[in-house]
Order: sequence, then C-alpha cells, then structure tokens
Amino acid sequence: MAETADFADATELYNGTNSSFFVSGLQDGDYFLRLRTADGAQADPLVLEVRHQSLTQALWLALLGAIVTIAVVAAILRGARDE
Amino acid sequence: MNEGSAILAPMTGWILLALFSVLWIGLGIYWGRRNKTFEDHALAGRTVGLALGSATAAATWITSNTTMLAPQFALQLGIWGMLAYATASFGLFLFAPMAGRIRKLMPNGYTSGDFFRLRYGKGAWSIFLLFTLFYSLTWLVSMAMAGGILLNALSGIPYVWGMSVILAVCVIYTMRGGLAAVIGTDFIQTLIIIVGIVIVGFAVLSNVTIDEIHTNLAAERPALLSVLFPAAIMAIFNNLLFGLGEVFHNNVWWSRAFAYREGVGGKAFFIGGLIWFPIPVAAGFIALVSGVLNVPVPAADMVGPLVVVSVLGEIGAIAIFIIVFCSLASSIDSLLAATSDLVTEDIYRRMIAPAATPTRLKKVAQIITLGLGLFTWAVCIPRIGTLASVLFFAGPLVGAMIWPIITGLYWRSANRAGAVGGMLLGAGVGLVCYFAIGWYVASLIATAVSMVWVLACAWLSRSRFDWDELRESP
Amino acid sequence: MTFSAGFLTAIVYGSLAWCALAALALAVLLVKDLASGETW
Repeated sequence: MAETADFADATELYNGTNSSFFVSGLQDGDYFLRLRTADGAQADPLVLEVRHQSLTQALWLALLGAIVTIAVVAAILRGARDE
Repeated sequence: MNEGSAILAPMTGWILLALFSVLWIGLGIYWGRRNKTFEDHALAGRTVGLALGSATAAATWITSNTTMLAPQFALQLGIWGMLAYATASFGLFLFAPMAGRIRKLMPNGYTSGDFFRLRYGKGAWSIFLLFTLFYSLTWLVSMAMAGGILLNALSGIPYVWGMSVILAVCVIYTMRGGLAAVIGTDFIQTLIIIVGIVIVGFAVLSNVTIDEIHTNLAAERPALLSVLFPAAIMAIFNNLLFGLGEVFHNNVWWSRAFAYREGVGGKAFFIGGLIWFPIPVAAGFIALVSGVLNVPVPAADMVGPLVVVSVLGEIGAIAIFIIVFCSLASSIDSLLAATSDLVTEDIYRRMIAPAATPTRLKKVAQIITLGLGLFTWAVCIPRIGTLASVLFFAGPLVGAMIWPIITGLYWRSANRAGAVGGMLLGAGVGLVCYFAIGWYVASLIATAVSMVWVLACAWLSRSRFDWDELRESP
Repeated sequence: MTFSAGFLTAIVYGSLAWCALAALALAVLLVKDLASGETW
C-alpha cells in the first residue's frame, strides 16, 4: 500500500496465502494498493478512497445523545415524587 | 472467514463441547429438582442471593458479541470503539434502582408484560409484546447462528452441528432446570469468562508493550487513536441508548428483578454493571496488537481469536473456544427462559387459560422452551448471513420503549396515550432514520422522539395512576 | 488530537486488574451467601 500513485513510499501489508485482508484506521486520503504473485506477476493498482463521516454531524448527534441520556438518568435518579 | 485449516482440531472441539455439555445438563437436571411450580421454574422461588444475582446480571449481558465483537470494534473504531462499547454497562447500572422499584410495586409480578398490561392497558401491552418478541427472537437467532459460525471457525466443526449442539444443550438444561439452572450455570460461566479474559490479556501483554502497540497504531492505523473519529463518536450514544432500551424492557432483566431476594436487586445489578464495565477494553485491546505481532487479519470478526492463537498457540485456541462457548450459553439460556416465561405468563395464562394451575404452567413453560429452541433451530439452519443484522432493526423499537417504562414506573402522570404514541412514533421515526440515514442514529432518534411525546403527554395529563393497580394477586 | 500511550496503558492494565478483582469479589460474595444460607 502507498499514498502516492507511483508507489514511491510503498509498504508491504501482507505476504501469504490468505484471500482477503482487513484494513482499518486510515486517515482521510487516497491510498494505492497493488497485488503481486510470488513469481512477480502484478495486478492493476487499486485506489482506496478514505473519507471519514462529517465530524460536525457526529458532534451534533453526540450532543443530542448526551441530552437524552442525561434526561434518562435524571428521571431515574429523581425517582417517584408524589407518593 | 476461516482461511484454510481451522485453529483447533475438530476432535478437540468436540471433546470440549461434550465435556461442558455434560456439565451444564447435569447441573440443570440437579438444580431442576427443586422446581415444583411455575414460580419456582420461572423465578427460582424469588430468593436469589447477591452473589448469584450479580453474576447472572453480568453473564447474561456478556454475549459472544462482547467477547468477539469487542476486538472487532477496537480494530474498526479504535480506542473510542472500546470505550463506547463499555457504556453498554450503563443499562445494568441504571436498571439497579429500577429493579428495586419494580419489586416494590409488583411483589407478585412475573414479567415485564405484566407491567405493561397493568400500567397501560391492552393496547400498549400488545405493542410491547410485538416489539419484545421481535427483539428477543432475533437476539436468540443471532446468538445461535454466531455459535455455529464460531465453533466452525475455531475448530472446523460443521456449522449445522455446532449450532444444533449449542442450542440443544441450552434448551435441555433450561427446560429441566428453569431460571435456577440458568442462574447457577451463569455464575460458573462468568468466572470462566472473566478469568479467561484476564489470563489471555496478560499473556498478550507479555509479548508486547503498550508503547509498541501505540507506535504501531500511529504508523499504520492512526485514525484508531483519534479522539475525533466521527464514526466512533456517532456510535457512542446510539449504542448506549440501544443498550438501555434492551435492558429496560426485556423480560430477561425483569424476571431477575422478580427473582432476586428482597433488597438484593439493586445491589446485584449494580455489581453486575461493575463486573461488565471493563470487559470491552480487557477483551478488545488484543485486536490492536495484530499490527505489532504481524498477525494478518482476513476479516474483522476473527481478529480476537487470531491474535490469541498467535500468542498462546493451541492453549489460546482452547481458551477462546471455552470463553466463547460460555458467553453464548450464558445468554442463550437466559433468553430461552425469559421468553418462554413471557409467553407462558402473558399469552398462555393471561389470554388463554387464566385458571391454569402452577404445575400446569410450569409444564407449559417447559414445552414453550422446547418450541422456541426448535423455532430458532429451524430459522438458523439455512444460515442466512444477513439475519444477524436484523437484530439492529430492534434498536429503534427498544429505544422507543425507554421513556414509557421509566415514566410508567415513577410518574403517576404517565398515561396510555403517552406510552402508545411514544412507542409507535419513536419506533416509526427511528426505523425511517435507520434506512434513510444509517444504523448509527436509529436508536438515538427513536428515543428522542419517544421522549418528547411521552413527556408532553405526561405534562398535559389530568389522570394520576394508582400504584395499587400493579399489585395483582398471584 | 489522539489518545496517548499513557492513556492506553491505564485503561488496558486498569481493565484487566478490574476484571481480576471482579472474579475475586464474586467468589467472596458466593462464600458469604453460602455461609448465611442465602444463595437462592
């Protein structure tokens, strides 16, 4: 995998006989992957576009979530009043 | 998912399976001897103590999802993923005061269905039954499928055999022993799971330091260390509320509130929460080691076992096998017991045969347990992969029930319109959002919409509920 | 903004230690219940 199309900064992800590989935790950006067999035959490069979800949307949802959760906790801890 | 040969030899898997099956079934038969009536069978005589009570609260909530999904979450969503998962323990913490309240208001209660029927009437009760059965059955099916898949991935035991054996064992000891067998085996399973996770965790740490893990992540998977990881942040409260909805509504937890000795409920659930809280991190972090140890991960859901095996070899594989089997059994048995008790009490006794004797009810519960097992088995046989994800549809359904339940337990002003509207509107809007926006907002939106409706109805309400109406004679 | 190695160390060792304590606590609770006859 590399971050430039010419594979100048390529690092080896995996060397073996598995038929799939799980990639995660990449930052926003384009990544280039290529596959090579033991005797040198090479597949066309694959471009992996990583675009994270909107942080703003995530934070707004977190705010809503916090409000609802605090309300739930408050209602339970407050308990029954008119006994 | 499993590349080439499985991790354990099938014979080893079969032997382990056989040993534990004999143990659980033997205990189920032995403990089942004390059950004479439906109350004994469904609620273990209403005298469960603190030790067993705490363990079962934790064990039931530790599913194979916890032990297998925690590493997967860590690998997909990083540090936040593990921390967000830990918030599922809040369901247990917050149910603690509710358990005491439930026991006080309904000394002769059997199920959460009884609560909905008495508190809000037949309309709300029907909606509740629909929602809870959908959730419970999909949870049961997803657990049974996971069992078959995991046993196959770990030891090569064919999916249908693995799934069938796990289900059969759980059905047998739950049928024979009732809630007492479920709770008793839960204690043993909890200890095995926790001790297993500790041993595996320290074994992994003896091969690699945290600094090495951190450096490797920073280089290869930097987003996993990010505090502002959008997908992870969105998941936090959505999953928290999904968890609250699950615990607050389901008979798995209400039956325990009714089964615990007086005064034990609150403490037991709180301790259960304390036991559960560290597990997502303790079990999950091992996934983050995969880069440092150069363990190739073909698919995210196998990262846990793959890392453990690379560190501990066959011993590790056996440990994972046992931990996963215990976490599956401890949840499947609870689901079988609680759902059959719900159907027996709410449908058979309350709708069909109100005059049934306690002994008859116990028999019916046992038959329904068997029926549930067969139903689950039939649904799981074709191994429809997408079935497991059907469980997520339940997110909006259970989220919408949070506010009707809380206000129903504590506020006289909470009323039918609020409950029915809250459940239907919340679930409806939540499901729309599930498909229109994504799974990561569905539970949150459902809870929020339901909350607004329930609060509005309670505020505008003229009626005041009489708590004595919940004290039904046995 | 990232989680530090120190933070990761704290939560990982902390959670493992907490689990070990939990197992011990459960064993102690069971012994207490068995002794007072209040197991179930």
